[in-house]
Amino acid sequence: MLDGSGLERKLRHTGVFRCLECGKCTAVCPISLYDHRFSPRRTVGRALMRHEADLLLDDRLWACLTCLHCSQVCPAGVAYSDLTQCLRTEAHKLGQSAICTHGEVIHGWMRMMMDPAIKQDRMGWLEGKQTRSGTVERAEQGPQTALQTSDGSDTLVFVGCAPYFDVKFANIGVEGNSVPQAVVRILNALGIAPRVLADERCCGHDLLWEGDEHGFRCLAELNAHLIRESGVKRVITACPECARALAIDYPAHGLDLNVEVLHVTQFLARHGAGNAAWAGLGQKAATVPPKSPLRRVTFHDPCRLGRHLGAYDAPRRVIGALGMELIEMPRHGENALCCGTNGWTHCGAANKQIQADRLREAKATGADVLVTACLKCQIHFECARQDRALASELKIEIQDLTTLIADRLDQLASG
Amino acid sequence: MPRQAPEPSAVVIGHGPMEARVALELAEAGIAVTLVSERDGLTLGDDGPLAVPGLLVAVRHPRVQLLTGTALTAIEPRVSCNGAEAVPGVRVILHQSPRYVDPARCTACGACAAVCPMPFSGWDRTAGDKIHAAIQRVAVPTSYAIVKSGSAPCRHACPIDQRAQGYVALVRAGNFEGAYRAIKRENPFPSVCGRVCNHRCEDACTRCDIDEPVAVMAIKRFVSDWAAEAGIQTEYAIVPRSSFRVAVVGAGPAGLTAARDLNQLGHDVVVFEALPVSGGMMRVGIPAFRLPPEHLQREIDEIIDSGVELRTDCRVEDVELLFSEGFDAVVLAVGLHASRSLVLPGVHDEDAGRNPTPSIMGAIEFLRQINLGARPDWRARKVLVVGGGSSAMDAARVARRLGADVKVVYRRTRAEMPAHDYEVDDAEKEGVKIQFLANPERFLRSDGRLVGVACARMQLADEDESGRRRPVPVPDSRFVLPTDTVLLAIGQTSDLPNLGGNAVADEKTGVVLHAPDSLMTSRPGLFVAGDVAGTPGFVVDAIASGAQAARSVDRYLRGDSSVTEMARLPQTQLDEAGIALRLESAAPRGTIRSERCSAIPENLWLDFNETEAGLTASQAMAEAARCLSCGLCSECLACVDVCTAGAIDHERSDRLISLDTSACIIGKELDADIDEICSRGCAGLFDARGSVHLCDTVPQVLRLFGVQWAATTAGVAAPAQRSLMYSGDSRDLKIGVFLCRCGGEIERSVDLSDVGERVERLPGAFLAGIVDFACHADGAEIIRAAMAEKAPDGAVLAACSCCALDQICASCTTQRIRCKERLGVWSETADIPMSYVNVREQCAFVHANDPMGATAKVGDMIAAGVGVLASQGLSARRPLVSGSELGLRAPITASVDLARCRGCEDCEMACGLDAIHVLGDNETRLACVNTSRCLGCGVCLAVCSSGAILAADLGDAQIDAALEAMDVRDKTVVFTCNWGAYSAMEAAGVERLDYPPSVRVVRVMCAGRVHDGLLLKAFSRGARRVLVLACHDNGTQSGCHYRTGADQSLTVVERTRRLLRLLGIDPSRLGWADLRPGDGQGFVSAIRAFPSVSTRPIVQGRS
Repeated sequence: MLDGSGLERKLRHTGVFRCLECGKCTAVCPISLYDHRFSPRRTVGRALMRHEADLLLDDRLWACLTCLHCSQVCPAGVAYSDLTQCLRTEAHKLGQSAICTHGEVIHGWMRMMMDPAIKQDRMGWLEGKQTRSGTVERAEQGPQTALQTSDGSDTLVFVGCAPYFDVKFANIGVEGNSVPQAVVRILNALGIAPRVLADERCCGHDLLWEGDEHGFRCLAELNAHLIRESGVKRVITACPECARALAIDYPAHGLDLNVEVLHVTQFLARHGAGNAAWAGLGQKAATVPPKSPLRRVTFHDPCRLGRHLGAYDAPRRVIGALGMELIEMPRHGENALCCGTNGWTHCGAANKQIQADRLREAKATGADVLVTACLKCQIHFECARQDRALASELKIEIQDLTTLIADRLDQLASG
Repeated sequence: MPRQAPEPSAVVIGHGPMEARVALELAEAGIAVTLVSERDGLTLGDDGPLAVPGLLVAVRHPRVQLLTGTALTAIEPRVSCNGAEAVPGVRVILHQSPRYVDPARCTACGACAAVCPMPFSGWDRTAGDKIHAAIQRVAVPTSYAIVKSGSAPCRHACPIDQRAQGYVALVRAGNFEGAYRAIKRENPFPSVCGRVCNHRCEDACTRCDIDEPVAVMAIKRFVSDWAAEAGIQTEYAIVPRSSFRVAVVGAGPAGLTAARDLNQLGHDVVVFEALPVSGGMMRVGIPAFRLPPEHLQREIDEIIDSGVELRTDCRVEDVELLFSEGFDAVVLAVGLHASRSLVLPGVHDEDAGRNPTPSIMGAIEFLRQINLGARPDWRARKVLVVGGGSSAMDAARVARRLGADVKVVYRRTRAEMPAHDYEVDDAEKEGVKIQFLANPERFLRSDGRLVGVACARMQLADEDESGRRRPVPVPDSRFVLPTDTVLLAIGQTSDLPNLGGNAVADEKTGVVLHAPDSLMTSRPGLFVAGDVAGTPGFVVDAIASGAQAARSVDRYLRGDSSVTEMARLPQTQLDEAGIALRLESAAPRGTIRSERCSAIPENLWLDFNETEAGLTASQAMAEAARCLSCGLCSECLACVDVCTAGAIDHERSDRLISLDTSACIIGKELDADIDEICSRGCAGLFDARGSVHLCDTVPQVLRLFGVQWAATTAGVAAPAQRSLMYSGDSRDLKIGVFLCRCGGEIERSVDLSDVGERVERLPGAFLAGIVDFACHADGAEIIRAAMAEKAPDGAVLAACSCCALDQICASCTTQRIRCKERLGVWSETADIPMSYVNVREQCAFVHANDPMGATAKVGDMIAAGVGVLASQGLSARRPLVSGSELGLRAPITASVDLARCRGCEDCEMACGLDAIHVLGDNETRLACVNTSRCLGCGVCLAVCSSGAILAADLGDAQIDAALEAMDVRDKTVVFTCNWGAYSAMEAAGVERLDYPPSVRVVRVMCAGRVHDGLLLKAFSRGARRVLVLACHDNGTQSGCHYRTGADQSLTVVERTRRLLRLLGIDPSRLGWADLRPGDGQGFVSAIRAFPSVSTRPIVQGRS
C-alpha cells in the first residue's frame, strides 16, 4: 500500500534515524502522561522498523500536540514534530484525517477561505464592541480612542482568525476582537498607524500541521500575494501560530515574503528601544504602579512563540518594562507545558487533564492573572477552567498579553 | 406430571398510557402481548391515540401484536378439557370490525384516497369522530382503512345490488369512466336501466325525506350515453377456464347476464336465441323511441366479445337435447313472450290465418313485429289498447306512430296504473286517449270484422291482495267503444320448450317451478332465470335473476351444495342529525332535482327516434351533488382498481377472535363494566383501573410465569451491536442498490430505468434488483436472495424507509418496520449494513409534477445512501446499524466516546430531558448517558466541543457524505427535525405535498442536533441556500419534543449567520423556521417563502 522507500526518504530530514532510543521524548510528553497509548518513542521505533502502515493508520498519530517539548530534550536532535507533520501529510493523502473538534466548524471556515473568489466582510473588529466583560468594563471608564490605521504604512497587522473566534467562542467569554484591537492600540501608542488587510485569509498553520498541504498552500499563496502586493516591510501579529507560519512555513514552501515577521512582543522587544513613545511610557511605568489585576502576572509560553520561534525573553522583557511583577510557573520557558490542544483536533480527557494541570500550576504561583500570548491557548484554558467541578479550584483570570500591554499603556497614558 | 406449559402471553385491552406501559414492560420481559384497541387505527393529532406517551414504542415492539377495530366481548375462565381443573389464565373473546384494507399488504401509497370520490376528503381534526373520509390513513398500522356506516338505501333497495351511491359519487367527482365501470360491475345493461328501470333506488333515497330523491336513473343514463360517446369498452378479466359448458336459453337480460357472469366464472357458455336478434324483451318488447337498439346492441356486443357464444335464430325445442349435446348445465331464460289472451265473446277472429295483423292481437306480439322492422300503415285504424302497464303505453304509442287513432281502456283509475306517470304523460301528449274505469266485456263484430268493444263501467271497491282497489262493474253501465283493432296488454306468459326430467311449469303464469334459493328446477342442472323464474318483470329483476342463476350454476358445477348469498351490511338509516351533517357536504335542502325531459315530435308518423333527452354533464354532476352519501364509503370500488398491492377487500366482514391467554389486563380506558364482562372471578384477569396500578399489575402478571419483575428503568439491555470495520479503501466497496416500485406508485413520476443507469454510474455501487413491494414478503425474499447471491458489502434500499433506525419516530411506517425486520433478522443478511432512502415520499410523491427533477433527486438520494455506507466504512468507528438481535431493539440513544469526553458538562446543560450527566471526580469526570431517558435527539452532540458524543442515527461524517453524494450544488439543503417539519407529515395524514425538487432534505432527529460545522459544510458543498426547520407544538419552547432543541437550533443558526457574514456570504442564505409537527403545508410554505438569492456557490476547498 505504501511506498516505503519514498516515505523513508521523506522522513530522513526529520532526523528520525538518529534516534538513540533513550525515551526522553516520551518522558516529557504531556499527552503520554495521560494517554498511555501515545508514545513518541514508540512512534519513532516504528519508523525505525519501517512499519509504515502502523505509522500512518494509527489514530494516535493525530494526538501529538507538536509542542516540540520532546525535541527540546532529545540528545540526538530528532525533530519529532516534523516527523509528525510528515507522517500526517502522507496519511492525509490516504484519506486519513484528524478528528476535529467543534463539529469541524473552524476547519469549515478555514477551507472556505481557500476559495480565491470569496470576499470576506471581516473588518468589523476595528470598530466592533469588545466582547469580554472585563474589557468592556475598563472601556466604560473613558471614551474609547478610535483605532488608527493607514493604508500607506510599512507595518502590517496580520489579524488571524480572531474575528471568527469572537463569534464562535463568545459563549465562553474569551477575548476575540480585543486582541487585534490591542495590537493596533499598542502600535498607535507608539505612534504607528498600521496597515490592515480587508481580505486576509487564515494563515493555514493548522491545515499544514494536520497534513493538508494543499489547503495550506492555497491559503498561503493567497496571503503571500496580499502581503507582497501591500509592499509592507514588517508584519506584526498577536498570534504565535500566524507568526510561525509566515516566518518559517511560508518560506519553506517557496513563498518568501521578504518582510520581517514578528509577534507583537518580539516587535516591542526588538524595536521598542528605538521608539520615543515606548521609552517614555517605560520610564513612566517605573513610577506608576499597575492596578490590580495587572500587578502580579504569570506567563504561559505558547509552544509556537517559545519552542518554535525561540521567543522566551521578548514577552518577559515587555512585562518587566511595563512594571508588572512576573511570577514564573515551575515549568516555563523551554520547559513550559503546552496548553493541551492543537489545531482544533483530537481533544479529550487527556487534553483536559493537561489544561487542568497547567491551570493548577498557574494558580499555585499566587499571580492575579494567567497571561498567555496566544488566543488559542486562552480558548483552551477557558474551556477547561469553566468546568463546573473545577471552577472553584482553578479560578484565575486569564488574559492575552497583548490586551494586558494595551491596557497598561492606557493606564500609563492616562495616569 | 410433565406437561407442556403454555407459552406465556397476555392480552392488554385499551390504548392509554397505562396500557402502553404494561404492554411494553411485559414484552420486554419476554411475553407475547396482544394489545387491543377499539380504534380503526392509531393516529397522530390532538386527540389521536399516538399522542399517548409510549404507545408508539409499545405497538412497534416485536413481541406486541396490535389488534385495531377490536372490542372486548367477554372473558371466560380457562379450564382444562374435563372442566375440573382450572388452568391459569383466561379466554378472551374479541370482536373485530372489518377495516376492508389488509394492513399486511397496504403500502399506504395513497392511490386509493386519490381516486376516492367521497366529498369528505382528508382527515378533519376538528370534526373528531363525526366525519371521516370514506378511506383514511392511519399511522399505526400504517395503512388506509375504509369507513362504512352501512349499506346505502339506494343500493340496498336494488335487486342487483347496484352500487348507486358509488357511481353517483364518481359522477359528482367528474370521474365518468369510473362511474361507468362501477355500474357495469353488477349491471351489463346500463343504457337499458338508465331508461326503463323502475328505479327502486330513487324510492328508497334518503333525500325523499327532505325534498326529492336523487335522479339516480337519469344519472345512470347520462353515464351510459357518455361512455358510448367516448367509446369506453368494458374490459373483462381473463380468468382461468373450467372444463364445464353451460347452455343459456334466451338472450334476454336474464340470459345474457347469466352468460356474462358464467363466462367470467370460467365456464364456456353458449346462448341460444329463437329470434334473429338478441336482447329479448329489451330488444323486441320496448319500442325504439324509448330504448334505441344501438345502445343495447353495444352492451350485448361487449358480452359477446368477452367470449360468450351467441346463436340466434336457434330455437331450443327440447332442453334434454342440450344435456345430451354435452352441456353440463342449462339456464332457461326464455322470458314471457306470449300475451295472455282475453277470453270474451267475439274474441275469435275468422280471418286470423290470412290477416298479417289480426284485429285482436297481443301487445307483446305487436311490439315484437314492429321492433323487428314491420311498419304497417294504420292511418285508417281505430286502435283500442287494453291494459294499464308499460306494455299498454308502449303499444299505444307505437300504434300512434303507425298513424292509428288510439284509445286505452283500463279498469281502474290513473292512480292505479302500473305504468310510470311519465309514460302515461308521454302517451297522452302523443294523442293517446285513455278510458279509465272501463272493462271490455264483449268484442263486437260485423261480418266477422271487429267494429267495437262493449265495455262495462267500473268503480273501485276494497283493496285486493295486490294492494290496489278492486274494480267492480257498475250495474247496467255497458257502453260501446268503436274500434277495428284491439291490442291486449293484460299480462304475459311463456312459450316454453320441452323441459327435461321432472321439471314442470305453472300453466297460468308460465313460471317454471324451481327452488327459490338456487333457481334450480327438479331436473338437476336445469336452472331458470328471469321471467320464467317468476321475477317481478322489470329488466333489473331479470338481471338480478340471471346473476343469481350464474352463481348458483357455478356452485352446482363445482359441487358446492351451499346456497349462501353474500351477506349485506345493514342498511344505513340516517336520523335528522345525520342528514344535517351530510347536508354540509351535499347540495342544500330544496335543491331542484334535474328532471327528465321528453320532446314529443310534432309529426309522429313513423318517427321512432328517442323522445327523452338525457342529462348534460353539468346537470348530471349537479344532480349527483344532491346525494347525501348515506353509506359514507360509496362502495364504488375505484380504490380496488388502483390498488396494485391488492390490499383492499370490500367484502370483509366482522370476525370473532378467541384468545387463550395467561393474563388479561383491562385498561383504564374501557367503558364496559368489568364485572359484567366476567362475573366468575377469572384467574389471570387484572383490572388496571383505580386501585390497581402498573406497579402492581406487571409483577402480578409476571408472577404467573415465574418471571422476576425488575423495574426496567435502566432501559433495555442494549443488544450486541454490529459494527462494520473497514481498514481498506472505500473504492473497494461493493454496494448493492435495490429499487422498490411500490407497485408502480413510484414510477408514476420516477423513471426507474434512468435511476438504474445512474446507479450503475456510481462508483462502488451496482443495481442489485428491482422489487414490486419491498415491504411484502415476496419482495423481501427477492432482496434476501440477491443479497445472498451477490454478497455486497452493503446495500441501499430505495423505497419509503428513510433511516437505519429500527422504529420509534412517528414518520416510520409499519411497512418500513416490517421491511427492515424481514431484511434484518435473516442470518444471511443480518451482517450486511443497510442504508435506507425514502424516495417514495421524498421524491415520487412530492415532485409528481416534475418527473425529471424527481428522477434526478432519486439518483442523488441513492448516491447519498451509498455515500453514507462508504463513509461509514472509512470512519469505521461506530456501528452502522443500531441493530436488533432476536427482534430486540436497541433504544435510540446517544453514546459517549469516553476517550474524547472532556467532562465539560456542556451536554448536561444542553439536554432538555436530563438524560446525560457528567459523573466522576475532578478532571476525570466523564459524561454518562441515562439510556432510559435519552431519546437520541443529538442536542448534546451539537454542543460537544470535542466531538465525544456519537449520534443515535447519522453521524456528522455520514451527513457530510450524504451532502457530498447528493450533489447539493446550487440547491437548497433543508435540515429538518424528524417530528415537525417533514417526516411526520406523512403519518399525520395530510395531503400530498408539492415543492421544488431542487430541495435536498437531511432528516435529523432534532433541529437542535445541527451545529454550525454542518451548516458551513452544506455551504462548502455548494448549497445555494440552507434551511433549518425545527418544530414546536403550541408555540412554546416546551413544544420541542426534546424541549431544548428548537431554541438551540436558533442559537446555532444565528451564530452561523455571523460567521457567514465574516466569510462574505449573505446570511439570508441560511434560514430557520419552526413548524407545527406534521405541518406538511407549513413545510412547503417555509421552502417557498425562503428568499431566492442569486449568488455564486462556494467552491469546495477540500483537497
